[in-house]
Formats: sequence, structure tokens, C-alpha cells
Amino acid sequence: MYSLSHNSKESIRSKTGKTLKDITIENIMKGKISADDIKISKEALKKQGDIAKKHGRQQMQQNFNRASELTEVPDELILEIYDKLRPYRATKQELLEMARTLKNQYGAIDCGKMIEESALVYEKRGILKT
Amino acid sequence: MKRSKRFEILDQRPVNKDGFIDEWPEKGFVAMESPYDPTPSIKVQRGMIIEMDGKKREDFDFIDQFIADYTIDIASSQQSMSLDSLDIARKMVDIHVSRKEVIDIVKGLTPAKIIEVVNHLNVVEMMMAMQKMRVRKTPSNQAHITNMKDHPAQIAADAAEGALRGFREEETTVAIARYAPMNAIALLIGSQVGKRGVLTQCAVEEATELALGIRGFTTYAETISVYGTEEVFIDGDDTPYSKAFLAAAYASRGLKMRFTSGTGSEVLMGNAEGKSMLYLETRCIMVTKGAGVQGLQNGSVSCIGIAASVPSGIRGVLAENLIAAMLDLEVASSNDQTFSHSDIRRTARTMMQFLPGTDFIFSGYSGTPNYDNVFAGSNFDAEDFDDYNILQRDLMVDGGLKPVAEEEVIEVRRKAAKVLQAVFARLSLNPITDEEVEAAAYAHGSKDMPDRDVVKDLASVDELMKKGTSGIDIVKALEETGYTEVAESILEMLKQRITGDYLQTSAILDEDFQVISGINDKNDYQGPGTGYRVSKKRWEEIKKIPHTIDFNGL
Repeated sequence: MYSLSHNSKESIRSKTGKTLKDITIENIMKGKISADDIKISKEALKKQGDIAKKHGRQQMQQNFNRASELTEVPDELILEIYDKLRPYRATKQELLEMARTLKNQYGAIDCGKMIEESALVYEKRGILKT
Repeated sequence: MKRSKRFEILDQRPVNKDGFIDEWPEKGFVAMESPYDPTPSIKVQRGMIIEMDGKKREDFDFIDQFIADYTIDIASSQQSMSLDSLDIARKMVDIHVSRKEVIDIVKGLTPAKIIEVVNHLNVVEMMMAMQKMRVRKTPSNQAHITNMKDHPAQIAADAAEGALRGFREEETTVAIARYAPMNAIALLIGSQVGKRGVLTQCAVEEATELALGIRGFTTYAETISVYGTEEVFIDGDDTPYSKAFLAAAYASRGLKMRFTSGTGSEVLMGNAEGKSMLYLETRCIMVTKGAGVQGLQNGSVSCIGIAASVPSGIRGVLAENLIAAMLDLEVASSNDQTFSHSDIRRTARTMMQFLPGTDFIFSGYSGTPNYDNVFAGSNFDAEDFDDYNILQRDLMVDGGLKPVAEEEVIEVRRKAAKVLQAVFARLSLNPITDEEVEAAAYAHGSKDMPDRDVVKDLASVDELMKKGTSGIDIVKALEETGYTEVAESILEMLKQRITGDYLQTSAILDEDFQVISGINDKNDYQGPGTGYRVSKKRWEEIKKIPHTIDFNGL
């Protein structure tokens, strides 16, 4: 299966559905390729996750699963969530609210779970915003 | 006392300008074994770790809890923990035991148990173990490309030369923070002019670094720091959870990344909880593993002054590199900061990684003179290129570099600066003059470069960021200015993030943009005749140093 660029050249798609063949200088000059077209897709990340697991890298697969969920989340929101996860930045309610948004609005179940967990850990360790 | 002439001379030796300190465990000044390090233990109840290294779950700090919940393989942990540490240590150097067998044991160990294992090894055994345990079969090298003036033409030229010399990753940072996008662009373009497929990064504050990556100005990231005590982690303004989220964010944009940690950081930041540096570093490595990150830059890194000041500190640095490899992580093994006045000592420190080979022996080697290295110098600098090449030749070791011809270097430096000049004009960045291009072609460092108009530089780069310029615009600018080949290279680099092949452990790209990683270039070392061997072709490269005696002249 690996590497995908070698073995799945035809089938692999970017986040916006472009194939590797579509992404050419010619198409860039024609204005047909935007920055979004060079983002990774959910599916490609899932595949890389499967490859990682097959090689004994369980945690890496979990990371790629969380990443695949985040492909749908806008850049600004990602930066905002990251900032809120830093020490003393968010109340427990804010963290739980963020987890809910990720789960309900973006189907980001694993990311949501990790943030819910962080809310409990931050509470226990006293690093929530007061 | 009348002074001995011998001792007077010795006192003046460079090594005696270095700082040394006796062990002081209460303050964390102890490399590998502190009397306050915990004793290994594990208790699992209903699939959850309820006690680790003598601490109960309710007393876990956030690092303990993250490691217990995310890193340790609970299914195999009791079996692994029941093994004798000495037996595990022996397996690591036993050529009849495969890498995989060791990995499968180590994934179930606690931090205290891991250091107990490593403490059984002397440095030669650690090197033997590293030879087997590093992830990628082919070793590689990374460069620092920075300068005191943040001069873009020099960054491009140094990046091109570095790529030509063999570095497969290049890292820049800034003297003035707002230069970050400009330096990243100069590095991206210069590196591809030198040799195709080199990965580049710009080390800045976490959120900015991610933003540059998303834009397509960098192709990987490294400066994602993790720490070994809760208090220092908080001082670093992060937690294992925020860092794990950041890791997922990078992967979600198809960007390769690794974390950074190193012995001594907790001592330097004033809170080591009396633990040994290696114990705390092992916690960092395990946080990295638990976050599902593919690799780690470690080996004391910018805190090498601390590690190098205590007994067995340099051995401890090798130990931390080794532990990262044991946990199946890519290792960019430091050697990246000036720490000693003694050439003997700094060389010895680097041999620990150079001889067995690591995924990146340096992280990085300074591709500039020491004074231009904004990361506070490196252990080896541009002035040491020939020494390094000759060490490779003397020992028939592949340290990732090769000798190059002067005219070739001048040519590639000039081209890199010229290409950047064209792109700057196209993107309306503060222009690079012909004089600057010529200076960059021949320069050793920024003292040989004209000054830039900093105010104009920064204004133009702010404008560029406001316009939302991305990697695609750089490709366009290159094509429009007639540099199609470079445009294609940059585009190929951007396309890496669609397949995500280079997100796998220890990935680099070859000159045809094909990925070489721990999946398709697995380290299979099991004694003589196995693992990485210097090929004929590579040996010819290594041997070709410029200053040899001409047979005809004899």
C-alpha cells in the first residue's frame, strides 16, 4: 500500500477532490488551483493511519484519526482551540463547549473526547481559567 | 604554592574554560541516576493504569496521566515490566534479537523502568543499540540556515549550498521575529535550487510556526517543545493535551512534524523536582509517543551546557537519543549548539551519534559560520565542513554530507540568490539588488553581505502576509519569472502534503521526491552484513575530498 504517491497515484485525492495529476503548473497558471487544493483529505489520513498501525504504531494511528477529523475544521478555529488548551486559558465550561462544537458541528469525536478529558485533568491539576 | 608549569599549561587549555559542576540531585544536576528517581512499578485495573513508578493514579500529574493513558501499551505492560532490566539491556545489544522484539518490550515499560534498562549500558553498548534501534536504515543530516542580518539572499545561498552538501532537512529561525515568513520563503526556494526534495522549516513560536506551514512556506515543523515536569510544562505555556492537539493539527494539514525536548531543560527552568535529567527526558519522549507524533528532536538541544557540566552527562545525551529510538520514534539527535571550547570535546560528543548513525545526526549542523547561527551556534559549523568530510572518509562512516567543488558552490549560491531576487520582485517584497546576489554567491557569512533596509523588509513582508500569499503564489511567481524547474520542485514539495506519505516515521525525500521512511527503508540491522552499509557510489562521493596529494606530482 505504501507509498500512496507510488501505489495509489490515480486514486488519491486532495481535500477538495483534486488528483495529483490535476495539480500542475499549467492549472495553477490558469487559476484552477487554490491553496485549499493542496490540503490532505480525510481518507488519505485514514489510509496513513492504517499503514502506521500495521507497522505497530497505534498512537500514530490515533493521531491521524484526530487529524482526519480536523481536516474539516477551519484554520482559525484550530488556532483558537489550541490557544484555549494552553494552561489557565479556559474554564471547564469553555473546554466542554469546545468539545461539543467539535463533536456536533464537525463530527470530530476523538478530538472532542480528548478535550473533554483535558477539562477533567486541568480541573484536577488546577490549571483552568478562574 | 609554587605552581607547576605543567598545571599552568593545562589550566589554560580550552577545555578548562568549560563549566563543570558536581552532582547535586536536589536541584536536578544529575545526568542519569538520581537517588530521588522512582522505582519502576505498574498496576493495572480494568484496563487502566492505577499505579505507575510508585505513584497512585490520584496523585498523577498531567504528564503521568498522559503517559499512563496514551503511551504505555497496557495489554503488554505487565509482561514487559516483569522482565529483568539487565536482560532487556542485553537484548538491545544482542545481534540475534531483532529491533522489533525490543520495540515490543519497550512499549509496555514505564519511564523508571526504561532508565533502569539504559543505565546498564556503557556508551559503546548504547551506540551498538542505536545502530539497531534507529528507525530509518539510511542515516541523514539536518542543517541550521540562519544569519544575524536575516539576509534573505544569504539564507537562499546557504540553503542551496547546504542542500548540495547533502543535508536533507534545513531549519531556519529569525534574529527579528517579524522576518519569519521572509526567511521561510528564502529557505524554501534556496534549498530546492541546491538539491531537490530537501525539507525545510522555520522555528518560531508554536502558533506562528503552524500558520507558516499551512501557508506552504515550510514543509515540516520541529519546534514543538515538551517538558518533563508539570511546572516547567506550564511555564512553557503548554500541556501534553495542547501539544497533542497541535500534533493532530499539523497532520490535518498534511505537514510532517516532530516534537522537541532535551535533558537539562527542567534544571534550566528551575524545577527538576530532584529527578535525574534522563528520567525527566524519558517522560518527554513518552509524551511524544503518546501524542502519536512520529519523531522527536532531542539530545539536550539548547540545554547542552547543563547536561555537559555534570558527570556522565554526554553519555546521558546519547541515552536520551537511544530511548527515543527504543520507543520507535524518529530521532533528530541534536549536536546543534555550541557547548565546549575544546575541539576534542565537541568532536567526541558528536561521535556518539555520528558513529552508529541516527535519523538526523545533527538537528542541525550549522550551514553558516558560528557567529551567524541564531540558534546560539552549533557543535559543528560551516568552518568544519572539511573536518567533517574527512571524519567520514577516515572512518568510512556516512554522516550524510559530501565534499563539493568550489565553483559548483559559487554557481548554486548565485542561482539561489538570483531566483529569490526574481520571486521577491514578483511578490512585491523589498527588492534584492544585483550587488546582494553577487555578495551571496561568494559570502562566508553576513559580515560579507550588504545591510538590508529592515524597515522596508518588514513592511513588505507584512503586506505579503496580509494579502494571503501562499505556496501556490510562490510557484506561480517562479513560473512567471522563467524558473520553471524550481517552480516544479516547490510544487512537488507542496504535493507531499496530499498523500501524507512523509507523515510516517523518519520520512525524508530523495532527489526525485520519493519518500524514504521507517516503512519502506526499515532499519534491519542485526550484526555484520546487515543494516545500512556505505554503498560503492556513496563511498566514491565520501572519498573525493579536495585536498589530496597528486600522484603525478610525486
